[in-house]
Amino acid sequence: MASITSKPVLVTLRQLLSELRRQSPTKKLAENQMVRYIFDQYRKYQTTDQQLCKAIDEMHFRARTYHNYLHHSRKYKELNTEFKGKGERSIEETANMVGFKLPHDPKP
Amino acid sequence: MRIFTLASGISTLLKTRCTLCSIYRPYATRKRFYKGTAVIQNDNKWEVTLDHRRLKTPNGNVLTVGNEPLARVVAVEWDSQNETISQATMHLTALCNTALDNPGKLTSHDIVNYLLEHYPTDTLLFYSEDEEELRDLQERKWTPILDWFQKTFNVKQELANSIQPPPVFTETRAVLARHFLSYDFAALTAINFGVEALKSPILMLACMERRVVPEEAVLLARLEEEYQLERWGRVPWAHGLSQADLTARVSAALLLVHCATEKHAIKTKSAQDSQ
Repeated sequence: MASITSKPVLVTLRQLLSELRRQSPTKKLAENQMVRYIFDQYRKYQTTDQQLCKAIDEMHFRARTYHNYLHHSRKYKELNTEFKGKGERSIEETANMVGFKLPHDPKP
Repeated sequence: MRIFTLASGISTLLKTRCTLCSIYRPYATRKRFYKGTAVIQNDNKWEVTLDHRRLKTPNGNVLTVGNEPLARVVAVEWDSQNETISQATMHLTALCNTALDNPGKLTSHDIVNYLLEHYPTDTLLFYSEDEEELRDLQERKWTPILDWFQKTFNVKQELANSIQPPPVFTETRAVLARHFLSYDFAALTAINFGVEALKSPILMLACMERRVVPEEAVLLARLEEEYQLERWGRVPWAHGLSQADLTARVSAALLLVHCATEKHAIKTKSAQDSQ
């Protein structure tokens, strides 16, 4: 039974909130619509989990899936910006690498 | 002389543009043109708005989804774009767009056929034959999933010998086809997206039935890679990047499948609890 107060569920909630805090441009979490929605959902399934025709852990699984999505797409973007290539070198840079100068160096 | 200055002028012009291209614009991006995002309900359909403008698909249709959580996650995705909108990483929006626009002009049966053709070449059916250690690892990690799959769907599936795909019984195909066809078109496009990321319909089914979370599923799909990494070292811009990308793709697909199949026949409890 996945009660909202059990530890893994709360851990997922915290992870979700932390990911949302990193991604959202709004400063306060309380103003974030998604955060409010998530809290609503958690509260909704707090007492009535057993009465719904949902498989055990369904909401928890979905929360974990969403956390996976947020976490890994952020990680992907971070890695991408860190290791992204800068494109081709300019002619001047290439010439400097092998110790040449361009014939018309513009004087400052 | 004049020609020279002109030529150098042009070349500097080209150069700056070129450097700008390669540094800031590796693929076509747009600046963020909206402040906030929100969701609105429009007779049983949910829409996403960017500053009171409705979000549209590439074909120009209004992006509508069937339920609230899906609209919310799409709105969050647009909200999390900081300065530029990088649509290549917005998988949830992309999946919703594909389901609405259907650029490949596919039907549900086409997708199911494709999935069934993919099934005999499932990653999980190909155990390593050369490496003892890898084989042990695969037996430890993959066999429980395969057992679960055979038990849940009540089918029998042989493993592959060498590189030849194993034979598939007609009943197995029928069972899987029926199962896949029970999903609607939007969910099927998502399933297809997830299967292509994982290269394994069985693992996608395990995700859909909540047997494994996407993170674990991607680890299982990349088991051989992980095994080789232990010996040869991990390169963040190759292995880390592909792992993060695949996990994001699979979890986006799964989120869409679970949201799309959700039925809203929920009765809220009496007001006493909410106090």
